[in-house]
Amino acid sequence: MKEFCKLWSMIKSEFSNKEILDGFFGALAYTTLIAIPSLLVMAQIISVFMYRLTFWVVLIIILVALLNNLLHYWWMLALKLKKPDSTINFKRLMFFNAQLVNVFVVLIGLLFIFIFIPMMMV
Amino acid sequence: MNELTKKFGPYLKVLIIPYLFFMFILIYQIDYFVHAPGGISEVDSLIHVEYNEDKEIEGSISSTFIMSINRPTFFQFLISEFSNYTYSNILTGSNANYSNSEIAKISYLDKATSVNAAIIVAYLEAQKNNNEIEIDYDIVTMVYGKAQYLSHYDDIDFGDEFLYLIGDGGVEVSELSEIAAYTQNENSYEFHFRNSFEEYSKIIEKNSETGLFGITLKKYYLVNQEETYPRFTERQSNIGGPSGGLLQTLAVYNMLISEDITRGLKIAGTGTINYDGTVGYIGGVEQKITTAYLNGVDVFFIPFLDENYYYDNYLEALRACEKFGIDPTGWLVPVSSFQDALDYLEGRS
Repeated sequence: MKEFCKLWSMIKSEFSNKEILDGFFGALAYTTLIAIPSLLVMAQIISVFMYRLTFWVVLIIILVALLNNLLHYWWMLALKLKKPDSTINFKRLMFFNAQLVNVFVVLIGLLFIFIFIPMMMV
Repeated sequence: MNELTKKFGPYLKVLIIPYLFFMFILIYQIDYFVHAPGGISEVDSLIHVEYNEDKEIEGSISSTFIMSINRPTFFQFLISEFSNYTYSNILTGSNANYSNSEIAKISYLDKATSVNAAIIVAYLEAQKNNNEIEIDYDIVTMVYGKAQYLSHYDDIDFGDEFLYLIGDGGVEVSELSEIAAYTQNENSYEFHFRNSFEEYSKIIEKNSETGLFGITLKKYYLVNQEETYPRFTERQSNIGGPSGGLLQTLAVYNMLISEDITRGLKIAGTGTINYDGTVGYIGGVEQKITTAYLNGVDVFFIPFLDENYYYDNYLEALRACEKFGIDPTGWLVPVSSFQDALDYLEGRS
């Protein structure tokens, strides 16, 4: 955690907030281009193969986690392209960040599997 | 953003056409329907009767739902072709004229009225052995269908209550059976309706070609909660349609009596319930049979009303079992009424 905070403070000292946000929103825009069809595909597969719902929800959790990793990868790439000479270990920072978000994604997915979906099946 | 665009620009130019084509397949809807297996839903999560609350119910009673996709996207249609369990065809009949949201409205109206029918039948049956139980209901006439040529199509909604119309000679007509007799002389009549908010009236004209008003009215029995004991609560349902009627009736009846008719069994089934306790046909039999089979139910009730009718639900179910290699012995139970289902469960004890 200490290393994570240290890496963040290094990024903040080297990049302005505008640059960090610009990289993030760029990555978000490109990830959205992939996320929209992928999530539509999953939703439509679920509607036809509803009887394997739990399996599909697990796949959605994996898909969202992958999209999250992709978002972080492109964020890292955008920052690297802004300052190619930077010595910051972007990979480590983004990996930490992505895994934190992934834990959150898995928790929400489990909530859906065990609580929300049974509640909706009425 | 600019850095990424510079890097990915060439790829984007190449991929834009296939991407848009793929999105088109994912969004464009076609005039077909797809029926696919769904799941089972325990009735006690939909209806709760405040009675015998300390009674332990060992088994479960569930209704069966299928996924009925009206106007699927190209993609949904294509993937449905990969499964043996799904059935797709061109959308025909009244559903072809309704939008998806209108079909959903009709479906939820069916569900709500089937729950009312289930409550009435179950309470009346339980009342035979328990004087404490009381049930009261009102008979209402509601809008169930609309033709495209109906005047004020958008103002009159499915489920709105028909109160009366001003017929020939200024007579107020509220009885469905009298409407035809009192609407002979004029081309348009004043209809009075009630929705959740207000009473309203509309002048409805007869269609010049068909000579009809273009509105389908149907009689329903709605439970009068104030005069009913024990009280019950119904949760908002996400699953529409009337096909859970029989199983809802069984579950409510089980909540009202002291013994447990489930006897530890996982009971499911399908079939609408009529006010006299008889069951009615449903659609999507193949998908319901597969749903039940995949969910490992112990008993599955299915309407069996006419052995000479090719599309009788039970006969369809037997054909479905043969098609999918499912052995129907011991769990597929044909019934023609609520009493049949009770007798079967009694016999399993």
